[in-house]
Amino acid sequence: MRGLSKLLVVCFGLLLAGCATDPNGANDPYEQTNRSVFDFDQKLDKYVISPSASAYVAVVPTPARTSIHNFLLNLDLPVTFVNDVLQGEVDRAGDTLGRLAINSTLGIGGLFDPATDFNIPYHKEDFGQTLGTWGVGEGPYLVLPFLGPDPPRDAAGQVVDIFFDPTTYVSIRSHIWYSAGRRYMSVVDLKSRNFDTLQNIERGSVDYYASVRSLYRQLRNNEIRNGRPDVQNLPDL
Amino acid sequence: MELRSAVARLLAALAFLCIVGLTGAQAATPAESFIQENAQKGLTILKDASLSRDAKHAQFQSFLESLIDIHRIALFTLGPAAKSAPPADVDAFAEAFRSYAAAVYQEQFAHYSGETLKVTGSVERAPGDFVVRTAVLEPNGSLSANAPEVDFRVSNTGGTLQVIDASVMGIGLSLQQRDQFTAFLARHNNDVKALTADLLVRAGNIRNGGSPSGN
Repeated sequence: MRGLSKLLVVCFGLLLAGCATDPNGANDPYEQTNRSVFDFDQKLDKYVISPSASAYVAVVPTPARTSIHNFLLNLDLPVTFVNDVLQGEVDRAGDTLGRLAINSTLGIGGLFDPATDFNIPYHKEDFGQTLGTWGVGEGPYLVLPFLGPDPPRDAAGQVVDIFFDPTTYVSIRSHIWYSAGRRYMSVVDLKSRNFDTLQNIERGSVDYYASVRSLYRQLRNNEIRNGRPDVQNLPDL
Repeated sequence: MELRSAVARLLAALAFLCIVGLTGAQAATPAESFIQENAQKGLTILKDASLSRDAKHAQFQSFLESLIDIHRIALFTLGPAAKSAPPADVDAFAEAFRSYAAAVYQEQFAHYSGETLKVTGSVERAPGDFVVRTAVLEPNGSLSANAPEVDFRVSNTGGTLQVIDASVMGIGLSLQQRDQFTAFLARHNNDVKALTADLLVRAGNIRNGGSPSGN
C-alpha cells in the first residue's frame, strides 16, 4: 500500500511536470503560494536549522564533522550508481562503484574518503536528473515546506530514489526516525558548510526568492548536463 | 555539488577576470588572448604598490569599464522593461547598474587570496560570440578536485572584444540578475525607477562597508 501511494505521487508529479506554465516566463504559476511557503522555510531555517548548524559547528570538532559529511555522502552512492546506469553514464557509474567500494572498506564505512586520494571524484545523481536527461521538463516551480525548491520532476525523482536506496529494505523498527534523522543531518551538514555563502546571497539579493529560484534552476540544469557546457542555449544579450 | 563553491565563485566571477592572474597557458584564439591579457592587466593594477587605495580603485574601475560591456549587460538584466519603459528611466537604471556593479567588484578585492585562472579552451557559439573556459587554480598553482570552471562570454562588436557575461558551474551571472530584477519589477508595478533607487541604495551601502541590503 505504501508502494502504491508513492507510485501515485510519482505519477502526479510527472503529470504536473507536463502542464501549467505562467505567462511571465518564470514558469512559476503558484508564485504567491510558493512565496508563502518560502517564508515558512525561511523561518524554519532561522529558528531551527541555523541554530542547529551553529551548535553543530561549535560542539563537534572539524574532523568529526568531516567524517559525518563523508558518511552521509557515502550513503547516497547506491542511488547515484543506479541513476548513473539509467543515464547510460558507464564511466561515472564505474567511479561511483569504485568510491562506494573503497570508502566503505578502506574508509571504514564511509567515515573517511580515500577514494578522492585515488583520483575518483565525487558526483551525485538522482532520479530527477535522470528524468531530465530523458527530456522530462521540471514542471512549474514549486517550493515545499521543509524541503525548499522541489518542482514536480524533482519531487517525483526523490520518491523513486527511495526505491533505489538499499537502506529502504533494511528492516529497522524505527525506520521513520532513521529517515528523518538522516535528512535532518544532511540539511545541518549542508548549512554548516555554506553559512557565509547563503548569508551573502540573501543579503545581496534584490529579490531573495527569485534569486534562489534562478540559482536552483541553473544548478539543476548544470547537474543534468553533468557540468558539460551548453553554449548554444545561452541567452541572447 | 558544493553550493558554497558554486555561488561564492558566481558572485565574484566577473571580478575574478580582473583580480586573478592567468597561468602561462598558450592562448590559441583572439578571445582567449583577450581574457589572458586583460586578466594580467587587472592584476598589474592591483599589485601596483605605488598607487593609493583610492587611485587603485579609480584606475581599476576605469579598466573594468573598458573591459566589460556593462551597458549591454544592464539592458539584458532589465528584461522586457528595457524596451517598454521610458528611455530616460532605462538610462538612469543603466547608470545605477554601473554604479552597483562597480561597488560589487571593488568589494571583491578583499576576498582575493592569490587564485589564478587557467584558460582551458574556447568556443565560438555564433559569429563574434565566444565562450572562453577557464579553471580556477589554488594560490599554489594546483587544480583542486572541486575547482569550479568559470566561463567568460566575449563579444566582438565592430572589432572590439568585450566581456558580456560570466558563469560559474553553469550559473550565469546576467541571467541570475535578470531573474531577480524582473521579479522585483513584477512586484513593484514594473516601476523601473523603484529598481534604480534600490540599486543606488545597495551600491551606497556596499561602499560604506555594510551589506548591500543594509541589514
